[in-house]
Amino acid sequence: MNLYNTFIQDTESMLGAPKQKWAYAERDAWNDLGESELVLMRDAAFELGGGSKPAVNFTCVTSDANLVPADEILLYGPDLKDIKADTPFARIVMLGVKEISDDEQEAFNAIQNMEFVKYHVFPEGYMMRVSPESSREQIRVSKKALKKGISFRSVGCDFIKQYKKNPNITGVRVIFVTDPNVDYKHLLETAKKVGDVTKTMNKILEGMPEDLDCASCSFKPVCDEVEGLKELHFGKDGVKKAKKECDSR
Amino acid sequence: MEEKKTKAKILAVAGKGGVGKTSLCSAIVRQLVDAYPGKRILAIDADPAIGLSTALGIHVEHTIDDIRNEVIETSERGEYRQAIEVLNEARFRIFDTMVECDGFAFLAIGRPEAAGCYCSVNSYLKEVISMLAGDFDYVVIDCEAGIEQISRRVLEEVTHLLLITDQSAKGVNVCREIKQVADELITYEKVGIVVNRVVDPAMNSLIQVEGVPVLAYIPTDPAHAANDIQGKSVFELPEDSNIMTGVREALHAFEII
Repeated sequence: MNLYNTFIQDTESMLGAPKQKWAYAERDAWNDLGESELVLMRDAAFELGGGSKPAVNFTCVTSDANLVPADEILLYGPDLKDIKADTPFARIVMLGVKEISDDEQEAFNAIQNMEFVKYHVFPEGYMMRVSPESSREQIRVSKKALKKGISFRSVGCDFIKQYKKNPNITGVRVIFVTDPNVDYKHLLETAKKVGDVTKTMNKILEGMPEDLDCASCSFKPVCDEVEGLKELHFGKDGVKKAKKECDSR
Repeated sequence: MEEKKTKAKILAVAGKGGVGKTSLCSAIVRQLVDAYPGKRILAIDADPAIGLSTALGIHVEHTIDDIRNEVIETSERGEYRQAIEVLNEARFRIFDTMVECDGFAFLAIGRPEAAGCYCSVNSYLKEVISMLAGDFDYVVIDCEAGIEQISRRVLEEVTHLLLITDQSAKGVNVCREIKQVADELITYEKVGIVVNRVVDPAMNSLIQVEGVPVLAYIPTDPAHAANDIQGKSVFELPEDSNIMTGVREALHAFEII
C-alpha cells in the first residue's frame, strides 16, 4: 500500500526537523479512559485548534518500511505545558503496515480500520473532537490534566499503544504541530488530498465501469496525482491500455 | 479517573402550550446553577418555539436542526461515510452548537425551515440526548407543547417528568394525557405537577391528575411579567419572586435540590 507515500514525503519535507522527538515507550502512555470525556470550557486550560485557529488531522498508511521505520512521536512547536492560550494545531499519523491482502476490498477495509483507531483513543483530560468532513481535530486540554503532567509525548504514546493493538501495523509515527509559523494551509490541503484518495479508492471498489473514460470522471485529478489509483481501477495492463487511449486523443 | 460518567438526572418539563413551561424551565436551570455550582448542567430547548434561550439570556447561533440538515446534505451529495465518521461529525458539531454559559450549557433543537412534521429532528434529538446525557449531572429539557415528544419516545431516558398546567381544565387534561402516554411508552422515576399562574387558590383542590402529586402552586407572578416585558433573563428575577419560590419548592419535593 503505497498510495499515500507522496503525502508522507511531502509532509516530512515541508515540516523539516522536529523540535523534539521521542521513542515510544508503552509505560509512558497517558491514562486512557476508554470512552469519550467531556471537558467543558470552564475546565479547559486551552483548546488546540480552537475557534477559528487551524486544526488539521490526517493519517497516511504505507507498506514502505523505510518511511516509518520506528514507533516515535515528533513535536513541532511548544509542548502542552508551555501553551497558555488557544493555538493552531495539527496531528498527523503515519502508519507503517504489512502488505495486507491481495484482495483490494479486504485491504481497503483493513486500512479504514487502522484509520478509525483515532476514534478509540481517549487520553484523560484531552478531549478530542474530530470532523471527518473538514479534516479538523480540536482538543480541549483540561486544567487537571496539565497539573498531572500531560504532554504530547505521553498522549503520543497512548495513540501508539492503541495502534499497536492492530497486528498489521508495523510502525507508528505520531506528529504533533503547534508551531504558529507552520504552513497549516498546506497541511489542510494535504489532509483533503488524503481524504480524496480514500474516497476514490472506495468509489473504485464500489465498482466503476472498466471502460470508463477517465476524462469524464470527477476523480481524475486525484488519480492523476496519486500513483497506484489507476492500477486499482484498471489493473496494471488496463492502465497501459487506458493511457494509450488517452494519448491517442 | 478525571470525571467518571454518572447517571444524569434528566428532568423533562412538559404540558400544554402557554402555561409557562419555558419560564419554569429557565427557573429550574437557575435553581440548579445556584444549588450546584460545580455540577454539569445542560439545558435543552426542545420546543421549536425557541423561547428558553431568551429566558436564559442566551444568543443562539446554531441548532440541532442545522446539524441534521448538514448531515443530510452530505449524504445527498453521495459522499461516502462510515457510521463511526457520521457519529464523530455529529459530536464535533454538537459541541460547536452547544453554548457554554456561566454554570450551565445550552442546546436548542431549532425550528425546521421546511414545512411538515418534526419527526426527523425529534429522532435526532433523541440521539443527541442519549449521546450527551452521560456527560452531565443534570439535563433539563423544555419540551414541545403537547404529547408529541413523549409519544415518539424522544424522552425515553427521563428520570423526572415535570408536568406544568395552569388552572384551566385544558391544561390539566393535557397533563393527564401526557401521564397516560408516558406510562405506556417511556420510563421515568418520578412524576409531579406544578400548577402555574394560580389566580384563585380556592380552585386548587379541583386540580387533580391521578397518580401525580402536586409539587407546587405558583401564583401569577408580577415580577416575572415585569422581567419579561423588559427582556430580562431569569437570572435577573428576584430570588423571592413567586416563580423562583415555587420552582424551589417543586425541586425540593422532587428531591432534586
